[in-house]
Amino acid sequence: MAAPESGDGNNGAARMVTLISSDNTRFEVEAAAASLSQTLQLTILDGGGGGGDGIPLPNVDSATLSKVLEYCIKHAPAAANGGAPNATAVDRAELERFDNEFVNIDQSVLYSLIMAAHNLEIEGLQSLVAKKVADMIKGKSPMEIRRTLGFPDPTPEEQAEMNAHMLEYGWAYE
Amino acid sequence: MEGAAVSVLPDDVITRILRRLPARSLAVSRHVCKAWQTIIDDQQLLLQLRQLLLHAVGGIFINYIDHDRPHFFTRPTLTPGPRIDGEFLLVECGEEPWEWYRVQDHCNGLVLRSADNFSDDNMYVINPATRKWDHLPPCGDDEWNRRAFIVFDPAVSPHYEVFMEPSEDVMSPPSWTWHVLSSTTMRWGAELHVWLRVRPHPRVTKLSLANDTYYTIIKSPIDLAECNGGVRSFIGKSKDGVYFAALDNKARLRVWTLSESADKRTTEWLLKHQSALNPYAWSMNIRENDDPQQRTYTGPWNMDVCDDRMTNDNAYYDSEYNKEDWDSDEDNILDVPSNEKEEEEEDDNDYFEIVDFLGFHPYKEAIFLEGA
Repeated sequence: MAAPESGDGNNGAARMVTLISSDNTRFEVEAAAASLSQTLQLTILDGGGGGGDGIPLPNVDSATLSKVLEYCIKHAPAAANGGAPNATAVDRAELERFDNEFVNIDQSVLYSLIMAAHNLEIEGLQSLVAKKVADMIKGKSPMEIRRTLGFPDPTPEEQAEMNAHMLEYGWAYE
Repeated sequence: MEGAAVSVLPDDVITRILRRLPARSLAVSRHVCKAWQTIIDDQQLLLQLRQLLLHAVGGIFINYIDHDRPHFFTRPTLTPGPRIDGEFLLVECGEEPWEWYRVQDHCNGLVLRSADNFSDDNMYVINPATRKWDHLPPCGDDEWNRRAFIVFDPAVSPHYEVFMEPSEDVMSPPSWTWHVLSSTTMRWGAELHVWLRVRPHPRVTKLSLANDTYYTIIKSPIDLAECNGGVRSFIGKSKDGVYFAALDNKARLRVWTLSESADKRTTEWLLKHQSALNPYAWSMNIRENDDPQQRTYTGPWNMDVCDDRMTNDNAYYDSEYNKEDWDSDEDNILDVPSNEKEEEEEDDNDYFEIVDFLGFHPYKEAIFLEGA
């Protein structure tokens, strides 16, 4: 039975891939970490990203990509264990601590991260940032939500709608 | 990426965020902007949370034939929340204090209250938790004699509808005219005509509110012979939809659920529960006290003030059981210990006067019973 020809194999250092951000910065990471992205996974399985080629990511700037890779590198070992069924409680607590700290960031960074997680289809990161935004919404009125999330000022139509809502559900905010 | 970014996120990213919200925040988010409203409505996010929206039973109203008003029973709770005005003191109806009234119907937290007099100007829709209320316009001269029903689902719409049963004997005429009031207009109208094929009692009628030409008559799970034999039946809504309960005069209880085929053309009653109640064992839970005002029960229900001359609406009974929130599961009277010897003997007692059926729990498979 012939072993499949693949870069990483079992002999020595882990296989590395190169990612290129929109502003042409090159990032070299382990294939296992980059593969948390569903979008990149297929390319990497096909042998892409190795050597001097690199995978261009025209939608992600270097600041965001470096943040995304920080997440991927941290989560790659647990993901390799198939969702880490045998991870210890300490490991899980450590990941949780990392996640909480990770999204404790400026809103503009958070939005870039949301888009990157979406475009690169990184399931865990998508959930993490969605939870962060949901937490920012909870317990607020429509107007407060708009302000918190940096919506533009409401149109007169939207303002009327929100006023009507306050009349109808005003008790909910007491 | 300067500000304003959330308003331009793709729909599926917004959906992912909204799905993580608890029911009330989701309801609020519907009013943030048109795009969010469209997402929430199109994906029926609120409907998926329906179970969570109805997250608490504040208490139950019981109508009495010999009291001038219904009484509201609550369980002691530590959960902060709006205090429920079970006496409807909030309603400024200008009625004389001796006016009799009762609860006609209720649906998802809204209560339909009507007076027991012959006036045609006496129906109120009240939300005892939010303290909002509406005075309904009169429907017709014979309104006091007609049954009214309220339909309200906050997951679908903030508006409610009240249905007034026809005054004529529904067994004989070929058509059946209901009056409908919607809280969008607060006017009676849009009469709902139902053409009726006469079938022997007992039966359950299902009206489709979306389309007034569609109705179904569903045979009830008990037959005419049982009805004539003194079996009392009750219909209501609970966890999995429509429930039907029957109590015979030996206190034997049966509960069915209505199962509908996917195309809603065929229905079937599934027997869900069957047991013989032992109401005599329930009284073991009463802690005796000669003063009825001081009497409390293990697993206590607090009753609003009995004396209508008292207007202090905080005068609820104290209970030493105020230690944790009530869970209806803890009050399972089907499991009360009973004397097995007694059960083996032939039971000739007539329980007709002893057990009564109060209602279905709105979202758990539990029912409320009364033991005299």
